[in-house]
Amino acid sequence: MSPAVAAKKLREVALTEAEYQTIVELLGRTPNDVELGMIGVLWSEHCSYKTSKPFLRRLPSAGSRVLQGPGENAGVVEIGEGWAVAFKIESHNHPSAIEPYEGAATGVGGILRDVAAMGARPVAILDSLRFGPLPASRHLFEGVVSGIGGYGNCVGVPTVGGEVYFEDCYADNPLVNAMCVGVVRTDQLKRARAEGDGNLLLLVGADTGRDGIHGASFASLELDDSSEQRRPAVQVGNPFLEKCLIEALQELVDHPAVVAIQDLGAAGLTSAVAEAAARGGSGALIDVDKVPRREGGMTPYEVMLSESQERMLLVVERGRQAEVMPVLEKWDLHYAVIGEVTPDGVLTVEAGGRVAARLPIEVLTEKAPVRTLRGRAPNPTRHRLDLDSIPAEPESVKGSLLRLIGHPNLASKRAVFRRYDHQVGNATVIRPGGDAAMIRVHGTRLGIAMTTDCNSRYCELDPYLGAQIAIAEAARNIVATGARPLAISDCLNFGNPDKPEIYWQLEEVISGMANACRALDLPIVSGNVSLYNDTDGRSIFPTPVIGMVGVIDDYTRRLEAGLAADGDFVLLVGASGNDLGGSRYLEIEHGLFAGRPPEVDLLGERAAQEYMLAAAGASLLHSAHDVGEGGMLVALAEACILGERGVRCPALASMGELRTDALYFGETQGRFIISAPSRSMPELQNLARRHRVEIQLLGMVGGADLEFEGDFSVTLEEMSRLYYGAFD
Amino acid sequence: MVKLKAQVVVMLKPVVNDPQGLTVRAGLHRLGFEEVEEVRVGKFIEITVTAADEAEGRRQVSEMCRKLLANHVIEDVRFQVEAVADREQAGMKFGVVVFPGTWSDRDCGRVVTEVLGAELEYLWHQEKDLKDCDCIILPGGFSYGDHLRCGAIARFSPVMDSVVRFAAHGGLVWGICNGFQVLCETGLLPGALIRNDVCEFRCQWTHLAVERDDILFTSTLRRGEVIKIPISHGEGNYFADAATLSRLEQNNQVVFRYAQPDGHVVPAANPNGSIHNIAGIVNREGNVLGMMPHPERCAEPELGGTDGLRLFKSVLEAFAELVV
Repeated sequence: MSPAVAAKKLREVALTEAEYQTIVELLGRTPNDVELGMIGVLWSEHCSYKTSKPFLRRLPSAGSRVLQGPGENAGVVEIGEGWAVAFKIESHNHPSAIEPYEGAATGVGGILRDVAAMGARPVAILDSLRFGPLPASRHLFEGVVSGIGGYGNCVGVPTVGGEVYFEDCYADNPLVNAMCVGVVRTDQLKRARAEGDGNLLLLVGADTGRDGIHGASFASLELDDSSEQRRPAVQVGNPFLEKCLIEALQELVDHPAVVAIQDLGAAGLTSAVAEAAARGGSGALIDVDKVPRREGGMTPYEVMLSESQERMLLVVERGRQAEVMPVLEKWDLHYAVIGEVTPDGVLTVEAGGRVAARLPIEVLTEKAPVRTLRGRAPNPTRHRLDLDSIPAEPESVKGSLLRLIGHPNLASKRAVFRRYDHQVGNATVIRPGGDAAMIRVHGTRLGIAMTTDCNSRYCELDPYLGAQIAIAEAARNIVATGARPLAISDCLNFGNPDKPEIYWQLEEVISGMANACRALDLPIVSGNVSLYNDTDGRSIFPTPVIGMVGVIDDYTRRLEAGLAADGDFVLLVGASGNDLGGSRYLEIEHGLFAGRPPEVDLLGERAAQEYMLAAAGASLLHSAHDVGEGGMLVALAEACILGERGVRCPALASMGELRTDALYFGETQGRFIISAPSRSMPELQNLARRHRVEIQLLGMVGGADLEFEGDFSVTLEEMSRLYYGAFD
Repeated sequence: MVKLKAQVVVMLKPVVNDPQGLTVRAGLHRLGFEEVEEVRVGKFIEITVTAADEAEGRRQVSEMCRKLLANHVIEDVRFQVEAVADREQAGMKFGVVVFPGTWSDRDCGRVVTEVLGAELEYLWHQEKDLKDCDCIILPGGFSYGDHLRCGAIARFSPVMDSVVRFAAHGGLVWGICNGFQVLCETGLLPGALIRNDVCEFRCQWTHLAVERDDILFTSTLRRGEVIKIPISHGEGNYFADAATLSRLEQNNQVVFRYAQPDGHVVPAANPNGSIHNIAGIVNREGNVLGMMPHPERCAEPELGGTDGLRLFKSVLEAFAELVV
């Protein structure tokens, strides 16, 4: 290869010159073009995690309930009564930036297949979305929301939760993270291990076209003007086909002839076969001529790298394929035997009777390079906050409240989730709009609580603290439903790690996560990293989205956020401090993005959560709501709006050092708004003493106003109009 | 197995003295019923049994009479046996059609079996056999991906030939959401369902004013009442041309209209732009119902309401009465 040609080729497959040299050393020869392309995609950041891998090892992934940790299509945790939850969150940021509808739709499609590959039936989708402010980002917002609905609604899996945020830093780099939750009998759990010499590789589902070639390496580059020209790298989804694929897999999961199931996602056939063979400690022989094509004239290179959607790889016991085919035919699915498992640890690709590529599996997988870069903390003074320069008394508490709950970042996302079918399956016992959603497991009383969370503003101000808060807050959302948090799937969205500040963020965030996971006893069982979320040199805020699931033994005892009965007492759980750094109040009322995020006292956090679980378990509570952005007053207003009930409180005296603005709008962590009947009060106080948790009586449920006597009063009607109307 | 009801009458033999009968006769005479000649008082016993067949059932009842029910020294016994409809088992069978892309099939199925306790068959779209079902549900979903038009391809599935014949013979056919779209494409119901006027998918609760209570599907509802049932569709905007519409209205074929919680049918209560706020219609004969809202999604309090269950119960109860 002449140097010029080589450089062009390497750019095409997103490999560096040094990486090319490593490949030559590992192979003992120069790779051909097909091999170079295959290695290029698997060594891309998206597939190999080459930059984040050293940090990811710090995250705890074991736990007594963990049946499957990272490294499979999805993580799996046991929830009792013979059932397990398979779940994973994944980014589809770059495709969504180029083509929002199809990018988001195929993001949903991909994560559904990951969960289905574990033998699970997908029962819920959550989406964590971030855009630039409206109206400028309206087309991306509309396209992404339509795409998620278009896919999820058609495939018949309810979209039950997620988040939507608008910040300047996402204007050119929207984040689309999709999480899927599935349920599976523990004895039907499948793993994608290509095992058993001579067993057949069955490619099932869509025919292979030239879709998304180099999607994985594309996700590992910064976006610029030429990204528009990469449009062919975006795939088009077919949710109808996916639905048929999922149903067929459900019929096949307990079939003894099906050895393994593997999703075809990023890097298509190359990645699917290499990963399954790596897990099985085997090799594979593929005949690309056998792969059903949608287009003529495709080269082996294109077939191996195509990212056509709605495809699955099944490993079927040799000689028993005839037992599997009737199910595939019933669902009108195309399939073809494209190769077999080999004992040699090598991926051999044949085309036209000749060997087109021959690569040791380990070169494609574990020998992928790991990069260690140098991080650098940014100037610590850049977001300094001097609270004394801000009046401690809001001009009008009521006015601030109304502006906060009507702000798109805090207001109800009903305008979004009513476009998603969130009820199909007849299992959604907590619908979107509150803290976590809950899906019941049919045939049992088990409820699975689920949420996604991240306050990326906190992470920008202090990535270590922000990451801890993301986990603590997700856990609080789960706890507020009465469910116990079980495990995490994380989606780490960052800018270009080649910048020392971004690399530093990555390290800080993962350290913070690891710390919070240990303190709260939460393993991370699956996840995904999306780097290079930069456009023209500008990076997004570090955004470690935490997808979390929890379980409650009896969903009829679940709690929702809305106040539930007139006459109940309303209480604030947890102590409050002057935590205004990074708060929504400072942003919306004072135009400030500054300060240090609230401190997280992880022991106190855990105590507050255990207190809540004890109180909920003893059926002492009627409602519970996490106190998050906007602080106590916003949380209280939400409890009123969601429960369609007012609350009357005596005037609040700010005590000691506590500022009035912090009292109402500070974002101290570890707090909940709860409501309970008067007969629960003695036991709630006993429990609070035992758990060393502070509780404060705020008022009593009733009427049609949120009122602090003598201070201010606001009608439910006015709050609801603003809260629900932010997107009109 | 058959379920049988035996009616057993146990009487004192004519030769045995019956003090109770004598006392009752005296009482009747005192009340002025001078014409009463004789009164004999016996026992009437109803027994329900399950047996392999009727002869076996008779044998069992006869055995019961001999061993326990009568004292053959002083009593005579006679009985009659008849087959009864078992409301739980033989009462009624729902059939839920499954097209590729259907997703409310299992939701409807669970309501039928787990909540209603009725019998259920899933009917695969490629099969023509309706398996003796008494009510066929065409459930929600995106049959064939809703490509071309919602329901356009599904109507040509083999099962639909049977459904059309079944409906022509008065069989109950209930199309929900995508099922309603299939019924319109098939021509079993007039009109069409087009894209929501808001140009967005809508998943939300709606209030429906009930306008018919004289059809099986709404037999336990009252005309004029308001029920709460969720919708979930992108193309539920009911449209019919002026002539069809006036026929529908004249014949009282509109069963449900989107309304406010107080029952007022106003544009603000219309979630999708449906003409005349139409949410559900029935054919003239009253045996084919199409509706966009999802009653199967509100058949349990845990899911936010139970008004949907009332429709399922209406069908079950009205059908039981028909059979009796």
